[in-house]
This record gives sequence, structure tokens and C-alpha cells, in this order.
Amino acid sequence: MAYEGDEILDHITSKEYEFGFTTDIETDKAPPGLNEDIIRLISNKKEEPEWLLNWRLEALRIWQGMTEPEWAHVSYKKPDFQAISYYAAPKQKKEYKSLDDVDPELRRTMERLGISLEEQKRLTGVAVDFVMDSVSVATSFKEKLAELGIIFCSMSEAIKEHPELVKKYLGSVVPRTDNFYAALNSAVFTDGSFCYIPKGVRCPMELSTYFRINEKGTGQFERTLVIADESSYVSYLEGCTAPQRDENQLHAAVVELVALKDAEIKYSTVQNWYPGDKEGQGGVFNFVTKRGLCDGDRSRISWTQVETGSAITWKYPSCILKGDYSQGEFYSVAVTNNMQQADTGTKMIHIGKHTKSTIISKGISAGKSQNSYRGLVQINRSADHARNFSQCDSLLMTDRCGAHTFPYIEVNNKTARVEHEATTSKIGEDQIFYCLQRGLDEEKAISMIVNGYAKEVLNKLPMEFAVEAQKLLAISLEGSVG
Amino acid sequence: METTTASKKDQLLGQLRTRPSALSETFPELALAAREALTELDFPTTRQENWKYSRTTKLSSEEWTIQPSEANISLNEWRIPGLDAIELVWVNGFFRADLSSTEIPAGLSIGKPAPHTIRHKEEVTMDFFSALHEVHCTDALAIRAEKSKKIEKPVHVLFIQHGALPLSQPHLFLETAELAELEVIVSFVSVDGEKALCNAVIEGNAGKSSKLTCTLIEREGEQNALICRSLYSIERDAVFHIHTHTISGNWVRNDLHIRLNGTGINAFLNGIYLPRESQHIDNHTLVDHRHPHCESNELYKGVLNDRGRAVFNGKVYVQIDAQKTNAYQNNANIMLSDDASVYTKPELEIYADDVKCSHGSTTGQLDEQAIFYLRARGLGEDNARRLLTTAFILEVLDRLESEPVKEYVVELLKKEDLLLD
Repeated sequence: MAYEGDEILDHITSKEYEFGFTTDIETDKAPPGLNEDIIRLISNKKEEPEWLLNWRLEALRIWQGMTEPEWAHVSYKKPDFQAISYYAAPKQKKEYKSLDDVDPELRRTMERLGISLEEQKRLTGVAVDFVMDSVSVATSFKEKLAELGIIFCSMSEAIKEHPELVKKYLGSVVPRTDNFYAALNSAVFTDGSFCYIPKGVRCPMELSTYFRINEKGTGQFERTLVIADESSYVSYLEGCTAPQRDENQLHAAVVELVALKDAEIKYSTVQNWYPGDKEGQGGVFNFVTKRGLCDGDRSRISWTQVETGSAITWKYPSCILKGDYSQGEFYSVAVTNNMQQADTGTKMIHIGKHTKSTIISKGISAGKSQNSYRGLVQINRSADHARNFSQCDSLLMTDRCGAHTFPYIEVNNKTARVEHEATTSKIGEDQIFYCLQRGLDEEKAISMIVNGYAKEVLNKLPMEFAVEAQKLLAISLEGSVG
Repeated sequence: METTTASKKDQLLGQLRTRPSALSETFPELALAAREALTELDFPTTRQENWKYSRTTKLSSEEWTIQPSEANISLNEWRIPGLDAIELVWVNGFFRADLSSTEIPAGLSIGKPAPHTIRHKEEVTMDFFSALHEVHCTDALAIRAEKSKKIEKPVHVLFIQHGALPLSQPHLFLETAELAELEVIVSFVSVDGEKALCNAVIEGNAGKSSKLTCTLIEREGEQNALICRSLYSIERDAVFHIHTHTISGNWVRNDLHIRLNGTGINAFLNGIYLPRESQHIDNHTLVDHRHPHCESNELYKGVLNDRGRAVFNGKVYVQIDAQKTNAYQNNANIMLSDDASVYTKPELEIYADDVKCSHGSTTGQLDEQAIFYLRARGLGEDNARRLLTTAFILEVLDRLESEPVKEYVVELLKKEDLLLD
């Protein structure tokens, strides 16, 4: 197919959001607004214990005393928190043992997303905890995992069946007082995933959750908690697509990771929520708090993210390196196109001795978008021989987009070695020319250059995800060179 | 907490109320705007992004007064050996013609600022200290190199603090007209060990194809605080150098804003800071690229000892039309003590695509292997360390074009036991 110049641009930029479709399933929805009664309603519907209700109410009180943060390099119309409905659940609440029991409508959605459960079960060995709006409706591979003592279930199930673990770790990494959106999430979270890997167990497959925003105006407040006990290992995948719509949707999730002695957690995200149309109408607000605690010695947490969606992304997956010799890693590719705004980065808090952190951030800005890296590397006085390496590169595709870097570096220990470097440059015209000469069209050339640029990060993703991520990068940037 | 700082501000303003500003007659509108801003502004707190790592409690807790001085001060100690300069001497923020050079070469004019002098209006009301300066400026002087004149002799401005608790607020205008060339050295010194606060503003304007060099040598006393705000706007094809050397002083804040107003500009920013004991040194720089084809190159290095604290915030701003910008920024720190702290934030804000911008920041200690190498060749541990820090610092000082100034700064650092003899 041969397009030329403007034709390519027209063709691609007019492309509608590929995964924009809505599923019609009756949902059970709370009236909009946020107050104690709504919290009680959520808690009651979910048949939660008393302590959790009190925990939520306390979070609500904390939230009411906070104001929305404004320091991020983004501008948007603030959401009206009283216009959001804080609870929506598919009405049929049956427990599914086999896929045949699942609502055919729902299954069709999954298939269009390319995550047919049968296929996944049979071929890839990925256990999928599929979240449709806020309540988990299908969980596979659970029995297989149970044999190893691994708990992988929805948060509501965990609250019922493993209250001692939830009570111990919920809010231990991201306290309710942490920030505005974390407090909000603590008050109203409806569901999410829970994962516990027992001592010495190496989780044999990638655990994965597909999030999906579905019901109009419901917002989504997921709560994820992953605990890796001593000497265990887990790789966790999170991926998202959302249906197209006009009003802005708020997403304020909280993800907490706890790695005990010698444990390792790999957390990978591919985020492709609806970014809004070319004029910046609609699109998801993604205000997420993600934090991992390397609690024990020699523990390790690694965040890998590919961010292509959302109108506004505001996300800083962080590591608290508490144990001696613990390691934190952050690999990120953030793509913004059209009117998207991203303010993303990480925090590495070094407390333990000989702690090590690596930050590789690759930003790609196209259209009229704004892409910022904001990061903190903090070496505390106790962190002898701490080591940090940060690299933040930005690639600019048009002359109307922006790329910004705001790294904060705080060093309080002389034995620390901290390095930060950042570069910003344009996509190489000579590189594109070279590819064109060899018979590639412009689209393929850009896709190839961008994938090469982001390779360092994409390599860190598990196999299946890497393929999806590459496709996403290509789709997000098609026709973006001006 | 709020009420105590508020009253500190009112106390200070109350004391200063009767003093007319040296700037208000020439720039009445700005004075009015600053006065208005002062009703809102207060001593900055660490909750403000610009002051996140710098506490101003040391400044707000003293009772500063403006103290004109007639004292006869010997200048020998502050002169730069081997440098034949035009000396402009200020004491406690007041220009002292009696102590200054009287022979002014042709092409150079030194006098009061005129109403058409270029001002950086938006900066005046932004910050508490600059508004305070505008409303209660002690004295102001404009130095201008006329069109096509190359001023061979450098100008050495000496800001001397003297006596107990003086508040000096001197204002300097530097200007090079088209094709002119001017070198200015500004020394901040104090003659006795008493506490002093100097809140200086230097406004510069480098005209078309001119060359302006400004070297700051900050040698404040052990108890002194210094706020030095440098605001420059540079026109097309001009070359601009600024060197900031913070050698001593208890609490130092340097704000440096450079606006590149045309194409083809070259701007060089160099700085060293060596906080030790309980010194606090804060450098904020902003390079604003507004037009295409400009280049900026920034190198700041710090050596920290004892409980010294250093803050570096370097911002490179590339506006939407500033294509083909080349901006380079580097900040390196060496920590020699466990109690020292470095807070660095090299920022890039880029809105144009065809640019080459990079920044780097490193913090670490001296390389043990290098020390071992030197010791194996017969150097004592102390000297080995000093040799390495000397090499580290000299990279910045080597960028000084004026040989006498470079030697002078090196001597000062040797005297402070920071460089190897």
C-alpha cells in the first residue's frame, strides 16, 4: 500500500481508537457522589469486615482534608469528585469454574482484545485475572497456582479469605496519607488483584491482569497488592485498553509491592487507555500511585512500563530500598501524541547499605503533546555505597510538542555514586531517509527507529508483552512526523 | 509559625520604611508594583519549589538595618594582583566615589541609570527578595560600553560589607552597546567578622554582536549571607560569559537568569562552589532560549566538606521557535565528608524539536584507585586527595579568559586550603 506525504498523515491521524468499543452488560451502579454513606454502601455490597470499613472511613476523612496536587507539568479540567459513581459491578455474580459459564458477551469482548482465555490457558501459560469494571469475573490457572501455595485472586476474595495478610500489608507501602489520589483510592477502592508468593517459591508463569474501564462515568479505583515472601520470585503483568468515549474518566489506582528477604518482583505494565481525540476531547485521566518496598536484604523490584494511552498520565512507580544490597529498577517508554500529557517518572529512596538503582526512561513526544520525566533519587545518610544510574532520553517528532526533564537528586552520603544524564533530540531525518531509500515506507521507518530507540526498555518486558508493546508503539506514532 | 514569619517581614519593612529606594525615582512603576507584591510576599519557605532546599530562617531571624558608611577602608586586600582595573567601590550597598577610580576610559560611561535602561520587569515581583530590593534599593549604578568600543581595562566592582547587621541592596546595570566589549568583575567581601546580609541585583544587557563577561567572586565573611540575583538579556550574535565563584560565606544564594533574545548567541555559564563547615550554597540558573541557532554551555562543579550543603538547580528552557538550539549542561559534585549533602535538579523544558540538548549530573567521592595510584608514587594521602580535587576544580577555572583573575581565584582557594599548592 503506497501512501504519499499528506495522504499518510490524513490516513493515520484520522484513525479511530482501535479498541474503542463498549460491552453491554447490565451493571449494578451506585449513585454518583462521595460521602460516608457511599463508603458504607461499597463496603456493605462487598460484605467487608468492620476493620476495613473503618479503614476506608478514616481514608475518606484524610482525603477530605487534602487538596488536589498541582505541581505536575500538566493542565486539565479537574474532575468533579461528586459527579463520579464509585461503584459498578456486573450484576451476575456467579462463580465461574469453566469458561463455558462466562457470559458470551463478555467473552466476545475478551476475544476482541486478543486475550481469549482458552488460548492463553493452552498456549502461553499465562493466568489471567480479568477485571471487567471493578469486580473480577474470571480467574484461570488458579488451581495450578494453589498447588504451589501461591495466592492469586481478586482483592475482595483476599479480604474474605486471607484477611490477616491483607490487614498486615494493605497501606503499608502507600499509606492513606500519602497523597490526594492514594487517599481517595483507599476510601473507595472496589476491587483489584491480590498476590502472595510463599517462601522459596518461584512462580512458574507470568501473572497477568487485564484492566478495563467499562461502565460510563464510574471511574476505576483498583487496588493491587503483591507480596513476595522470602526467596520467592514473581513476574506480574498489567495491561489496559479502554472503550472510546467523550467524557473524561478518572482512574486512580494504587499498587503496592512488598519484597521480603531475597525475593524478586517484576512488574510490567502496558497502558493503552483511550487518549482522547485529536483535539484532546475525552480520554482517561490516569493518576496512579505505584510503589514497591524492598523490605528484606538482597530483595529486588523492577518496574517496566510502556505508556501509550491516557489523556493525562501522572504516575511514578517507586522503590523504597530498605534492605541492604536491595535493588530497584525502572524502565519506561512513554509515548504521547496529539494533545496527550504525561508527567511520569520514578522515585528511588535508598535507605539500606549497598543499595542499587537503575532508571532508564525513554520519552517520545509527537503531535502537540507534552511529555515530562520527573524523578527523585534520594540517598539517605545510612545508605553507604549506594549506587544510582539514571538515563532519561527524549525523542521529539514534531515542532509543536514538548519534552521536559525534572530530576531531583538528593545525596546525603559521601560513599554514594549518583549519575544522571539526559538528552533531547529530534528523530533523525537522515535515518528516515536511509530507510526510505531502502524501500521502507515512512511509517515502517519511524516504527523501526522508535523501536530501536526503546529497545532497552522493551527487552525487559516478558515475551508476549514485548510483541504487544511494539505494535502499540507503532500504532501510537503512525503518521506523527510533521 | 505563619504569624511569627509574617511579623518578621513586617518588622523588617517597618525598619526600612523611611528609606527611599535608589530606583523608585527612575522606575516609579516598578517600585509601585514591587511595593504591591510585598504586601503578599513573605520570606520564602521550603514549601516553595524555588526554595525547597534553602531555609531562610537565618535571614528572617536577624534585625537588619541599612547603614551608610563613611569608613575609610583599605582596598589592598581585595585588589586582584596583576590586574589593572577600574575600581568601583561600594560599602554597605552605597557607592563610594571617594574610594573609586576617577579615570574612566573613553567609550565607557558610569553613572546613574536612566529611565530607558532595560529592566527585567517580570522578575521584580516574582520573589520576596527581589521585591524587597526594588522597594529599598540602597544605591544603583549603570556601566555602559558605547557602540563599537572595546574597553581594554576591566571594571572591578567591590561590594564591601562592614559593621554589624547591615543590609546592603546594591543594584548594578551592565550594558554593552552594539559591537562593544566589556569585562566586569564583581567581588563580594566583608571587612570584619560581623553578620551582614547583601541582597544584590545585577541586570545586564549585551547588545547586538557585543561581548560581555561577568565574573563573580564571592568572598563573604563566615557569618554573612548573600543573595545575588543576576538577570541578563542577550541580543543577537552576542557572546556572553558568566563565571560564579562562591569561595566563602555562610549562606549564599545565586540566581542567574539568562534570556537569549536573538539568534546566533553564545552563552557560557561556569560556576564553582565549595561549601564546608556549615555553609549553605544554592545556585539556581535559568537559560531561556527564545530564538533559533543559539548555544549555551553550562558547567557547575562543587566540592563538599564537613557539614556543607549545596543546592544546584539548572534549568534550560527552549521555546517553541528556538530551533537548532544547542544546550549543554553539566553539574558534578564531589563529597568529601559523611555529613555533607547535595541537592541537584538539572531541568530541561523543551518545546522545539530540532534541538540538541543534554544535561548530566554526577555525585560521588574521589576515586580510591586514583588515590592509591598517587600514593604509590610517593604523595601523602592528603596531598593525593587535594591533587584530585584541584584537577576537578581547575576544569572550570580554566574557562576563565583573564589570566590574572584565574590566578587570583586559584590563590584564594589555596589560601582556603582547598587547592594543592
